[in-house]
Amino acid sequence: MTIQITPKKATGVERLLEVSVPVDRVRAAEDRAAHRYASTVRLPGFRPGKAPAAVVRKKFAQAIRQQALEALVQEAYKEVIEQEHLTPAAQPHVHEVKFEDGKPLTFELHLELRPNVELARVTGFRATRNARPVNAAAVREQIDHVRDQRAAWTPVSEKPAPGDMVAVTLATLEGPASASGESAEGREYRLVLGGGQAIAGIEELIMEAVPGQTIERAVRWPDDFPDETQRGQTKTVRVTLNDVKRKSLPDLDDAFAREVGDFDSVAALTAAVREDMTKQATREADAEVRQRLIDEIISANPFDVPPSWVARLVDAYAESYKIPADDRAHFDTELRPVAERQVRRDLVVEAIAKRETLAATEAELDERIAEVAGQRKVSPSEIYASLEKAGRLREIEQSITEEKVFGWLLANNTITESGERE
Amino acid sequence: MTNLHRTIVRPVMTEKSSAAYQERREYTFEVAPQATKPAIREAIQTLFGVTVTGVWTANVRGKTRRVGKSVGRRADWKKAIVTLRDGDTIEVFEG
Repeated sequence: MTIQITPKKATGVERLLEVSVPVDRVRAAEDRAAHRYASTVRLPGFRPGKAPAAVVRKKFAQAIRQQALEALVQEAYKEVIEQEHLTPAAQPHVHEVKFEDGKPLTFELHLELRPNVELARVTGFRATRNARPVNAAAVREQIDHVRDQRAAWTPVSEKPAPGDMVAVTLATLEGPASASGESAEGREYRLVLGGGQAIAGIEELIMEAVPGQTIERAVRWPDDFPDETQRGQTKTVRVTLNDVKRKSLPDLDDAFAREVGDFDSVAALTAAVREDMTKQATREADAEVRQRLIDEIISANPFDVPPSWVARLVDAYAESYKIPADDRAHFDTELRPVAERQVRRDLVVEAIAKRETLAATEAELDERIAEVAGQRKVSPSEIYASLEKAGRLREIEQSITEEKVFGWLLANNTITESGERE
Repeated sequence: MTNLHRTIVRPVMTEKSSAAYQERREYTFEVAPQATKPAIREAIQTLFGVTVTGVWTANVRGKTRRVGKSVGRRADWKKAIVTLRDGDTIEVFEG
């Protein structure tokens, strides 16, 4: 007798099947389970595994039935997949299990199938490649940023100006200035003026003092102060300016270039920064054009994606961003479209690689590994072994495939360049 | 022996007894030390509603057991092996 399969529902990539396993199969599975159990079980009066099946079956009826049920569901699932020629995308869900003595076993199998990505059209799309120009100003800005990071703070003895770092002792004296004569304990703060670290009124007050001076005045708390209870209040503030430090940027000269890295001159540093930025811009433009092409292909070739894949990806995102359990619901709804897009993208890449036989070959993988080995100055076999150990070989294989697929896509679609280059 | 359950203590389920059952249809029980063969026959017939065709008994000596220095001894017990008329069965042995 064979297993009976009745399709109940089919939407998108999801299938709901009713499966019925005939009684004789159920009995056979129970016998097998009992024998398996008997061969391992320990019973008083018997050496391990020597208890007769009948005795074991009587004693462990529940456990044996459970084992038989698991085995039967597995078996039936395999048969369903084979009979119906299905390619499941994830582990199936089993519902509505009816397992009564002397009756056929019936259950519902909820499956998600791998989507059939047909890709009727993958060529003839147009995409614009927006290469952002790397001009002298941008390079200069980047270098200035580095200078800013390496700035020195030197003490000055004049009134501070915006941008200066000050050390102050702040004390708030409750009530209007005239009424309160006693001084409160102040707290020491170190802040950079003009950065919005302190209330505007207090910053103004600080800027009126010279180092060592103490000023007292009423200050009105702004209406957008984070603590609502203090909004719009006026309090007397006593400020003691302890010291002022002014930022001095290092000069942009060859010495600075040497300090930053292995550069002989400012020209060399500039060239290196420009090269880095150009590479970065190219990478960004490439990624953008790839994404655009994929988006076009996805919208031209609609297909369903298994919800479990999307959910798994969202889980992985949540894991990597360490999202607390309370925020998960919100995070999930936000990230679901992103994850779905990623799943579609991977499926499209896979489908194109398969159709156009662009999958990474062994030789290409070896080549890539040799390349990495060359960079790190170790033998390729070491790299290979460490990648295999970390389970990252597949990742590299995928990235090669992806590069090849995108190379093919770029060659077979029209890419127009836009944006001026310097 | 008026109390049947006091005569028949429990069925003996061991490798040896289940082999005896499977090979020769012999049913093994632990019985009261004072139980006689006729009493055992009677008890089994009444308890299980079967006809007994043979009764063999044996007094089993308890094994000595020691825990460290102290030596102990398990209790002696009486074993009864019975055969039944063809077609009669006792459920506990059926599995």
